[in-house]
Amino acid sequence: MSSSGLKLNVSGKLILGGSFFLLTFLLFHVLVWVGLNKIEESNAVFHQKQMLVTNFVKEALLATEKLSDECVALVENGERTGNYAQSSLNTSAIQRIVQEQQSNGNADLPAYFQNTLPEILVLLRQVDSQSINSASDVRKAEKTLKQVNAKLVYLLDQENLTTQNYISFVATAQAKFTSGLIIWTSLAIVFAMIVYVVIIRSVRIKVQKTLRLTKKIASGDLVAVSEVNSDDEFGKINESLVEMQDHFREVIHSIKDISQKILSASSEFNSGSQIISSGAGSQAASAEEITAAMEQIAEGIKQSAQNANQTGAIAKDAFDGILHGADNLESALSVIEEIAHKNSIIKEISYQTKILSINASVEASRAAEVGRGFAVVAEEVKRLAETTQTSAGEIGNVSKKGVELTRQSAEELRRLVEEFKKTSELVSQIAAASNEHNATIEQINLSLQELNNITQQNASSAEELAASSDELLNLTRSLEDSVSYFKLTEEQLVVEEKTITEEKVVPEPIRPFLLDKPEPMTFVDDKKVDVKEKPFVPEEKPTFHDWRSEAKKEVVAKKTEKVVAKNETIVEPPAEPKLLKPTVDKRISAAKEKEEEVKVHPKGVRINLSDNDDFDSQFEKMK
Amino acid sequence: MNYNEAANLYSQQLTEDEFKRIQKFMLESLGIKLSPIKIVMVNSRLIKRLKKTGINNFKDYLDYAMSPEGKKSGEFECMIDELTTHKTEFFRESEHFDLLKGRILPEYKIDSRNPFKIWSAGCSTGEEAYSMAIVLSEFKLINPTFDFTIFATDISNSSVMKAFRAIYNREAVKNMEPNLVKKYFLASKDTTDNKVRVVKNLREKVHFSILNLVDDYFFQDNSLDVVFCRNTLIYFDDVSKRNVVHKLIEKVKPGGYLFVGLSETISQYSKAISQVSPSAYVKIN
Repeated sequence: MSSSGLKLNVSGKLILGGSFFLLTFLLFHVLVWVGLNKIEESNAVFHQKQMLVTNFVKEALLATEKLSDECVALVENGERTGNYAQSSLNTSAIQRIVQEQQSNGNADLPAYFQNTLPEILVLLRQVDSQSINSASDVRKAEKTLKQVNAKLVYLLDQENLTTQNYISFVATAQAKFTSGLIIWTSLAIVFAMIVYVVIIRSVRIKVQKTLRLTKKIASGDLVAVSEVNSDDEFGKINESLVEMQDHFREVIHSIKDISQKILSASSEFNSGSQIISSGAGSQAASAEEITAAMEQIAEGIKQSAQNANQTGAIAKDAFDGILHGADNLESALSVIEEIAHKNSIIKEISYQTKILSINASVEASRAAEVGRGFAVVAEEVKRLAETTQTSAGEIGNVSKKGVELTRQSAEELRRLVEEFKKTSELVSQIAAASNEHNATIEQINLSLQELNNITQQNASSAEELAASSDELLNLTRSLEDSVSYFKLTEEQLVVEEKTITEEKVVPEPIRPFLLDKPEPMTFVDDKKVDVKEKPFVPEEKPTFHDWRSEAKKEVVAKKTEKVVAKNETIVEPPAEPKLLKPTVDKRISAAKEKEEEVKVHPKGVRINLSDNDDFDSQFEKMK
Repeated sequence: MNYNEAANLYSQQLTEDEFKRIQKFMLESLGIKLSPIKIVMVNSRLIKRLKKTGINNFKDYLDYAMSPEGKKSGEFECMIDELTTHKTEFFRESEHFDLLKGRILPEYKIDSRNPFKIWSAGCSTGEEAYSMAIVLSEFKLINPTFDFTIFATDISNSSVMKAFRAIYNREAVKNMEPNLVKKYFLASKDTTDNKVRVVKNLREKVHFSILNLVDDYFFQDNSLDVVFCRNTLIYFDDVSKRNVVHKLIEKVKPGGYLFVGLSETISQYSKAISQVSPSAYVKIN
């Protein structure tokens, strides 16, 4: 019944062992029952026989006693009467008892009994047949009766002996039975021990082996080998365990594999997202910088647009002035011509005056002494007329020259007017172009703002991504740790431990190229300035008290500039392209500015601003 | 500021020591960890503040921002705004809103005396809080006895202000169901201006306030039905994360829910919660 010999499963073994125990128990029961039955039976038989014998002997003894008494009476009567003959002893009663006993034919009555009964009968018949005639006859009968009595007593003795024998026999039998029982019980115990050792031990060993395997599996050892190799349930359990191990190994293997991959991917993802994050940060900074630069450019262009507009206006004024000048020259020319004409009249008059003075002096000389005074006057008039004549001649020459010069000037001016017309047109064009540029730049600026916002959002997202990827990396590491609980192969275990410790060394973050200092831009002389070569020396450290007021001043200055610019644009002759800046945006950004003014809110207090609902007027229901 | 000055400002670089100073400050007062690679981000983000304040180097800027004057003028808050990330969108990680809609609300026992209380911890510019408001309002339409209160907090002053103003680019709602957008948003009257605004009814349901998750909370213990704290814990160091998770759980009602970002796990920090779906936890009674 060893595990290798008989191929029995555990339940078979248990049933076998159990039935053995049951059989043994039954056997015992039967044995004990049979033994007890036998004793009881023989006891009953014995007692019956004993009763029969005892009863018979008692009855017989009583009957013989009676006869003996009769004999005594006979003797007494014979002595008294001297007559013994008339009577005889009647033993028929006794005989009847004996015969009854005999005829009952208890064959299983002891031999001495069977043998003694006929002897008694012979003796009784002897008494019966004997005629009593004398005292000696009576004594003879008495003697015979005594013999019968002795025989009966003998029977009684024999019976007592038999009883004694029987008692000792029963005692022996009991002793025998007890010793037999002890032997059988010992044998049964030994047998049970053997059964226990053979069956239970084999089961127990298998249980322990299976337990060892399950413990090993529980501790994550997926390479533990099953020690049980049998066809019974334990064999099947072990088989299943090994199968489970195989499946687990497969699954864990793939999990390990995947988690390794996830780990490397997530660390790559992590460093990538860190780079993206810092890249996005730099990008955001650059976008910010570009926006600032564009603001500066816009400012410049606005300035030049204003200048161009101003120049245009000035040119127009100048053009008007020149036109006016030309007109003036024309009239100047006619004036000069008129002067020349008038001058010729003067010349004529002075000539006539001279002639008249000559005539006067002739008349004066004719008048002699009376006209002497008049002659002086005439002479003087003549001199004056001559001077006038000379002057008028000079004037005539000058005006001739003036007319010529004025004519030339007028011609020049006319030509200039043409040129100026062109210049003015060009300046207007420049102004218009500048305005257009300005509008474009503002448009660009808006787009840049948008771009900047998006870049900032991207930077935020990248930041979030980087943080999440950190988390992912940690999770993957803990997954890796969890999975490493399982041992897949002994060698692999060692290798894996190595790789895990290697993986755990956080790689030096790659300092992205974007970390490099951004090339600063200059917009004044259109060439790059290397900051390293020309370090910026702050002219004056701003104190902390005035930065805000300065900033405010800047804002105010900007605002006034804007106003000026607006006023000027109205004067512009060319149609100014309309700016697309929406008005609502301004108001919303005004709200934003307001927010910045509010700044610090106390912690943990519900935020409530009275003007919050006002903004709803800017909005309407969705269509 | 002329071009040269501007160019010079943008060429400013954080030194290692300055960055370490910022790192230390962020960790100690906000619990936010900044890895060394974040120097670029910090650099580019703080330059904006340098530009705004007109301070031309980082050292002076940091001295100023962290000084009492800086705190008084709000520059301190602005610096924190710049150093924290405010990424969010409407119905971001929609699985959580589906869970809210499909499981939490149907299972919720309406109690007219106690409105449903939900908290958006780390609300940024408010998209999450308004998304909650939309889901809860939709539920209220079907169950008129249902009422709710939304709390939304963030450390960033400017983010919370934006959230309070509730004005967003139209782009922000383009992935939302059109009928919900129509129902809960107003459009800018100026068609060239692509802005939308959350309707007043919804705005009034959200209580905004400023709160540093590392500090004490103003909520009572076991008072909130649901807490969303998503993609906020990723910025914390491990110690702060553990503390914050414990404090958040304290405020959630037994049987209430706590949501974290889909990339986050918090079951290792507390035994008082059990996971019901990815990144969603229920507080054990």
